[in-house]
Amino acid sequence: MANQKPILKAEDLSKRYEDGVLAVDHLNLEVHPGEVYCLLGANGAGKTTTINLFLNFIPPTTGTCYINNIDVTRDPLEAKKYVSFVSENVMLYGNFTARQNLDFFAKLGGRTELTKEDYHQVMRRVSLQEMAFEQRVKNFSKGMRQKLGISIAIIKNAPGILLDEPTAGLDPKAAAEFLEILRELKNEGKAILMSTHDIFRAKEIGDRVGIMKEGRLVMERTREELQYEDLVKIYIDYMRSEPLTA
Amino acid sequence: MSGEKMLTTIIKKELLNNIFSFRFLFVFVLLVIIVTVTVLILTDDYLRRVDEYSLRQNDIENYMRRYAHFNRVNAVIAPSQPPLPFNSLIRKISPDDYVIENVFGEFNSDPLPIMFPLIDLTFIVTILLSLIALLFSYDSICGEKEDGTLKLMLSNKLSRARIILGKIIGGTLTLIIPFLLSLTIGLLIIQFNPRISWSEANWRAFGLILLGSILYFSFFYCLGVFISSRHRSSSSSIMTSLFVWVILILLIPNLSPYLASFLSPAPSKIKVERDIERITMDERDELMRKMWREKQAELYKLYSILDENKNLTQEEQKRKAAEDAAYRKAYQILSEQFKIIVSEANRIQQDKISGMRTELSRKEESQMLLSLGISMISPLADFTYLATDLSSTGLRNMIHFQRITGEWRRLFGDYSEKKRDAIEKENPAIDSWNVAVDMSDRPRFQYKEEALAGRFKWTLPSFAVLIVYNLIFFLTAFFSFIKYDVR
Amino acid sequence: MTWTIARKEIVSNLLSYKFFIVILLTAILIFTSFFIMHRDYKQRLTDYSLIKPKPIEPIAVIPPNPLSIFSKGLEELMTRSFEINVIQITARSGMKSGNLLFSYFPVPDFLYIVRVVLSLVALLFGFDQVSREKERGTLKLMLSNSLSRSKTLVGKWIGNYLSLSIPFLLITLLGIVFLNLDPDIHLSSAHMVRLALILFFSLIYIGFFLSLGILISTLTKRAAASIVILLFIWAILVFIIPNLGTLLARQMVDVPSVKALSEKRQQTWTKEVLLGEEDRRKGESSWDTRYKNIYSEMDKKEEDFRNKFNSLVKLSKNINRISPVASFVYAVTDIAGTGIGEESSLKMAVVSYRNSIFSDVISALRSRVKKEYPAFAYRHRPLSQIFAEGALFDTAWLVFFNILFFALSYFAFVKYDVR
Repeated sequence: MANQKPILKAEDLSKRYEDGVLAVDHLNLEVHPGEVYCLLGANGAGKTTTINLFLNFIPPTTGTCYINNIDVTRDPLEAKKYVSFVSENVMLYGNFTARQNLDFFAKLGGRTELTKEDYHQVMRRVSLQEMAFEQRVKNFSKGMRQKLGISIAIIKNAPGILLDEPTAGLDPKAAAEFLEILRELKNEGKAILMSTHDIFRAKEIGDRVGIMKEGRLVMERTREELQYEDLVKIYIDYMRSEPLTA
Repeated sequence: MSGEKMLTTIIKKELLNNIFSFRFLFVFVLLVIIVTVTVLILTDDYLRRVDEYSLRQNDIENYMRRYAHFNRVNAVIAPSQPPLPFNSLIRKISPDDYVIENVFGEFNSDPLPIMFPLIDLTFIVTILLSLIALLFSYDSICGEKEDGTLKLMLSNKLSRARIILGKIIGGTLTLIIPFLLSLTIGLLIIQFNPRISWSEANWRAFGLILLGSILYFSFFYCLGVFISSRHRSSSSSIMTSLFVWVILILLIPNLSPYLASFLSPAPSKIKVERDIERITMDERDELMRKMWREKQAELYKLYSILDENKNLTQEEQKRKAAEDAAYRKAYQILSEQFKIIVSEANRIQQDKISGMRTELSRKEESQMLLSLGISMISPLADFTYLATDLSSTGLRNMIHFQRITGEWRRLFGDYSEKKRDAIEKENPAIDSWNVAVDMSDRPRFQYKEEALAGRFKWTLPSFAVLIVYNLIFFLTAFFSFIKYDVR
Repeated sequence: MTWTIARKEIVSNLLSYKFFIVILLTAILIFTSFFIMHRDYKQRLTDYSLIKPKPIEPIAVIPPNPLSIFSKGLEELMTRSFEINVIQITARSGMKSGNLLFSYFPVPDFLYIVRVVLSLVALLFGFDQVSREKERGTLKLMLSNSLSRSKTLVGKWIGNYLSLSIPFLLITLLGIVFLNLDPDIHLSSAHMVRLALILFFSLIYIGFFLSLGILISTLTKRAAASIVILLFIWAILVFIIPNLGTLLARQMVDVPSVKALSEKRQQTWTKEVLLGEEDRRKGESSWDTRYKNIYSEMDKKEEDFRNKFNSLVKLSKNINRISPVASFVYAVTDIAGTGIGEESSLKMAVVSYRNSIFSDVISALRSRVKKEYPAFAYRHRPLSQIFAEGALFDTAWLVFFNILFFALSYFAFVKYDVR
């Protein structure tokens, strides 16, 4: 699967903000179908900015993001058809039930033909409790909301999935369940780009792991390579080392 | 830390937290702008009216020098309300408007103030400051819960009572700062104007109004804190606060006079006036005729000589009276009795009329009192009453004005009688009512504001209501917070 | 896609506390207003039947206008009884003149409710549309789909506008139906047309404030900041600009006060009467010239007053209309027939009535014989005239503001930073 064309591609991507901060510095990465790419880094390393660039929430200073070979800045609406998004800490529409939230976002994603049973199926798949389906989201725990968030991504059935710190604040059991779902999606052929600062999960789920520091991708390893190296040690070393020069 | 120190710490925290917030800066700037613009425009308008007032007085003096005569002089020198220095801050109702409408029935009118009532200090306090108070207090409790700082506070050795007390005091102090500062700027504008000067009584009245304002917005702050302590989220708290605000400020005062007029109706003024006209003219004439017929019959029975000559015309009767001594005596009695009947008929009708007028004003008064009572449920009405009455721009001034014009009328009436007697003594043939007279020595109407003590006494109920409201809502906020679920 | 968003807005609103409070408030206010103004109208009808003039009375009165239930405006001034007598036209008021507190607070009519409260409500609907979704994280979620920002904004606007305007219309129409049940209220078809126009203006007015609210929402980062800004803008647009604008205009156009006019009339009249008496004592009868003098002087002064007053009104309108709220007030009061234009048209009709019967009035006074006068008939200005004399401009102005602020919120949202 790694030989197929990448669904998500960043080519020489840079972003400098108005206040001069260089948030992303000549980033190159590719995510192929059936692959999970974990983007590791400290807060402010540029992970979230990268995801925002992929979604065209901000324009790049130089370089391009491609989703399914479509230039995201040139044709954002077309590009967004091929990617779904799971945000960090999403409150969703509190007065709506889980299913109503799912229904709304499914329609936005272009799936207008789904039935109630389809929604239930997806929610079951993410191990959301049966009785929560028709309950208002405002009473959900964080774990439940994350599950709902991923079910929104699943129901869109897009080839690419972007996740921004999805396991932050989840208890170990919920995090493990979440990763299990990601594994299933990867096996279905989805290209998954996930930003996180959870080293352990990254090592568990990532086919490839990239470390970002001050906007630059300073290291990239595959799963095989990581078997022989201690990711934790590498990560901490990078964090502790001198700041990179501009 | 001792209890008092804790309290001061909380108050300081509330104060600083508020002052360094965006909403404080925004509110401050806008309040200063609005107060400044309002004071500038009102001051200009006041000076314009002062100029017009002196022009009018000059015109009256010029007229009186040449054309003064007793028959219709009252209409010309009718007392009018001079503009007051306080009008650069507060304006409500003027006795002039009442007099023009109800005494002179003036056809021409100025409809603009009805469509667009003016903005003055009472508007700024009642509408803006109450909104601002709610804006600062609606998230006082639930906002801290949402931010997590409430739990933090309560994880210390700190009683809930101190927290709520500190919040309310700190919050009210926060509001006093922009209010006083913007008012000071307004006052400076007024005082720097060389044509306006305030007496000591004005300053004291202003101090009282200031006190009333603080009571007013501290009530709203307590209300906001109370509402805040009944909600889990700030977004629902602001909705409830605005709901209550609209009902208290925009609905209840406006409804009150209508409710009062339904519950305690007064008869139509026009109908009463028409009836009075009828009573003065037609009914009186009829009554007179009836009484005279009876009297005549009586007299004819008594004095046969009159009966014999009753069919003569008035001219013939007069001639006969001149010739016949016996007839003359009877005729004199007849004439006297006639005069008595006339004045009797007039008296009866006048009594009726004054009875009707008394009844009318009694009903109007009770309707107004009911109106006052109902409206005082709303703190907006209480503050409006105290501010306008203390500044002599309200109801109290109308009553006071009526009283002093009554006094002046009596003085002028005496003067008028004396002068006319003097003229008639000099020349009995002159019609002293319709001849031009030099009235330069007449008593002139001088408007003086009622003493502050009198005005203040009248506003005591409003102050009382505001104080009671403050107490009630302070206590409700207090008890509600004690039971607030901080999780 | 737009409709999906609009539908979501509507359903989301229906489930929210905010919506519940707003609808409750609207219902309470509108029903209370209709009830109170209805009773007030009935009282004035009774009053009118008591003061209707007999043919021997030279009095001009017009019956109360049922549309004044919705917009009281200058109705009190217009329904006074105007009695033509020798020195002046005397205007007398009916029931309300005894209770001074009526002038303390604004009349709670439908116009007031829409102007003051519904504008606030519409702002409250709009102000957290964008910032709230951002805080919730759902804005990013929405925009991660193949959905243009313009469609998103339009969907939000439509959804919220429908959530607001449909309940408002239903409540109002229900109120009107109840009013019509009263046999004493005759709302002719002409009245209904005007009422429909008033509702139309209200809907545009509400739309403007919704757009304004959404605009504020796109310009501020946190909902808590936007509520402060919103409330002040509301106070400035609804109260401060229209009301201070009028005062400002007075600084620039010098209009004598009504009291000055009244005093001048007393002076002129009594002076001429005195001179007439002196002439009579000398043996000359100069009453005719005297009366002529009174009239020519007073008519001149009154015309001067009316001209100056008209320029004041014009200038006032120009300043006030900076705020679309003033345009709304002018449009609704004009259409209801209780506005400034109608009042001055009525005054002119009364004056020409006086002129037509005046010689009869004088001769009746002299000969002490009661005469019969033709009845005073007044027709409210037709819609065509109302629109020609300013309502068309007000309509265009309101629509313009609507479009302008929708466009502004559109552009602001397109550039909105969703992160």
